[in-house]
Amino acid sequence: MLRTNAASRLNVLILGFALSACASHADKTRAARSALDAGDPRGALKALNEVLDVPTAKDLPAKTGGDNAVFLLDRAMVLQELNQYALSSRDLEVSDKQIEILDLSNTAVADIGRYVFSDSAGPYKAPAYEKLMINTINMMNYLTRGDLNGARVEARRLAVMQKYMRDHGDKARSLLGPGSYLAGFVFEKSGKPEDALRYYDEALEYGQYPSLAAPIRRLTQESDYSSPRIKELLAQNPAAPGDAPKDGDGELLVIVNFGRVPAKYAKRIPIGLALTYASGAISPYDQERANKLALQGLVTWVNYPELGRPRGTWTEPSFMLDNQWQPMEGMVAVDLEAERAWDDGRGALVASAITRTISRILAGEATKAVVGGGDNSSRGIIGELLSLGVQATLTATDTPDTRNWATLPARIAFGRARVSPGTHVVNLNAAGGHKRQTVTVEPGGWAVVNLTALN
Amino acid sequence: MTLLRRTFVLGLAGSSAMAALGCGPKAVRGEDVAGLDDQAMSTGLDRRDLQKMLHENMQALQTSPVVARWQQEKEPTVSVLPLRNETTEHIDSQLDALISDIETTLVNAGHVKVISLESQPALMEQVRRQYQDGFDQSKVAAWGKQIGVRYVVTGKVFNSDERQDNERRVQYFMFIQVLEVETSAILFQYKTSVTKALL
Repeated sequence: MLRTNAASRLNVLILGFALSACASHADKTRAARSALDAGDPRGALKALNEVLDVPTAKDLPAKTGGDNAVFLLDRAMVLQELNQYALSSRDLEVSDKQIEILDLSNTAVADIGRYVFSDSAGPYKAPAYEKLMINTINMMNYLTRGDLNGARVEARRLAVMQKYMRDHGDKARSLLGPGSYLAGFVFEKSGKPEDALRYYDEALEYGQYPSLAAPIRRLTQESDYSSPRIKELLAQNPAAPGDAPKDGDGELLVIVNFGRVPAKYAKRIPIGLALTYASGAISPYDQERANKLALQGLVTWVNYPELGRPRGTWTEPSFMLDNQWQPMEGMVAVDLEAERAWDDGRGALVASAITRTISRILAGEATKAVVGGGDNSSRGIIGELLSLGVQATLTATDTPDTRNWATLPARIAFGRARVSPGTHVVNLNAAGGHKRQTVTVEPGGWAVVNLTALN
Repeated sequence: MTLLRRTFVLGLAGSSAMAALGCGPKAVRGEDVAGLDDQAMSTGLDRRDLQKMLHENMQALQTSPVVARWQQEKEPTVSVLPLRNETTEHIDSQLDALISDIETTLVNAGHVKVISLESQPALMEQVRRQYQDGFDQSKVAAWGKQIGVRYVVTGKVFNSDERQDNERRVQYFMFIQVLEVETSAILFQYKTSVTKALL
């Protein structure tokens, strides 16, 4: 009786957890991603609002933490595609705070949950490239609205994250490029030449931006800041006699975000392959146990989150200003950073998946031993059934962690041109999207035009 | 018996899980929940932080030589310009709300006649635009002249934002200045600070 009750309690505990387990992140965002694939951002927005359980994009969910923080990131990109920049900013800012709290949280309970029940049991830990992109994307939103105050706040937030990443030798360094480029633009237009040059210098470390030669030449007349990269850029792009900007000229910056980074999906792989992926991340003890269970035929497959393929084609976007072609530059591959981050973390993810699989088998075996002990044949049958129940429940609750910011653009490109004061027509084309916009530039002013095409 | 007990425990666990899942936030009033305004919810600035920094700055102002000067001048005119946001937080709207708080403190102290910038929307827009494009200290005196006041109160909030492995610490500093419009001289300047952190 005592043994049966103990097993019942174990089952109840597991069942309690099973009740709280739900579909994976990839399952929940499938409708939104399919809508984006079909070139229907409004449909994607509707699907994400449903996931967030809110009637419209103007509404925030009752709880903004947990997985909702990732859904809000997804919605922010869709809102940017729909030119709803203020709402996109709001979602990014709410999510930014939550992602930070999740990032700093590290509870033992979450770790146990991750290793026993499911990867997605723990708080979402955003990879470095996603953290950098939150502030970079939001700078785009503020600049497009002509709000330098808001853009400066985002540039400062980005600087904190960049410093943290530099101090910790984090990866995703190529993504320092676009953020630094935009921060340079923000501080240039804010009348802070020293800060602008510092950020432009950093952008040049990670990308080719020939159009920066003219602004940097102007800025160096107001600041003593210099560096080998800046000198090299100015030497390679000497000022031509007729190139000097006329008084009152304005400036136009275009930002094209296109394609999508790969989403994750749940995948079952043979234990042998899993052990290969996890080598270096799995403990020798777990490796030995896994091998032993595999030899007994008790473990054959492991359930883990795999990275899919990026979405889109990488044809360079085009930029036309008043019917004149303009060059695009500094194309950054966000999808490659996503793949790099995935490769870096895959071993640990597969190792925890193997550990969970072992835990399931051992929990089942323990249940069988507790209930099915003795010579009573009915107890043996109950033990077998409960053992199967425990394993089935733990398998059902093992949701691979497919969380990622899957609506991030795969590629980002910039274009820049000096313009006379007045009205201008901008045409932007990228694989899957087009925008024609009329902009008015004040004397000595500036404007930013953004095209985001996530299909 | 065992089956009955199991059913009972299962039911209990099920309803507990459902209750946990169905528990949503509920709206409350600050005065109904003890300490609601005291709890820090993020590293951003909340009402309590801003009031604390402003209170300390205004106390320092009240005991400064510039107030003695105002008393001698018999209600000189003063205007309060927006405080600049140089932080890593989107607190512009909170800083705008502080303009009225500063005006209220000055009016109630009774040393000066306050001319609100809100009464001159065109100039207000000009000031805001200039704050957007990058602040130019030399313009402050010119705005004071446009408003027609003798003194201008303004300031800024900036921060030092640092992140370690499992911590983020943000130290905020609020500067308040009083400038004489005629000479652009700074007659009063004071700094207060608060620290917020995620530990």
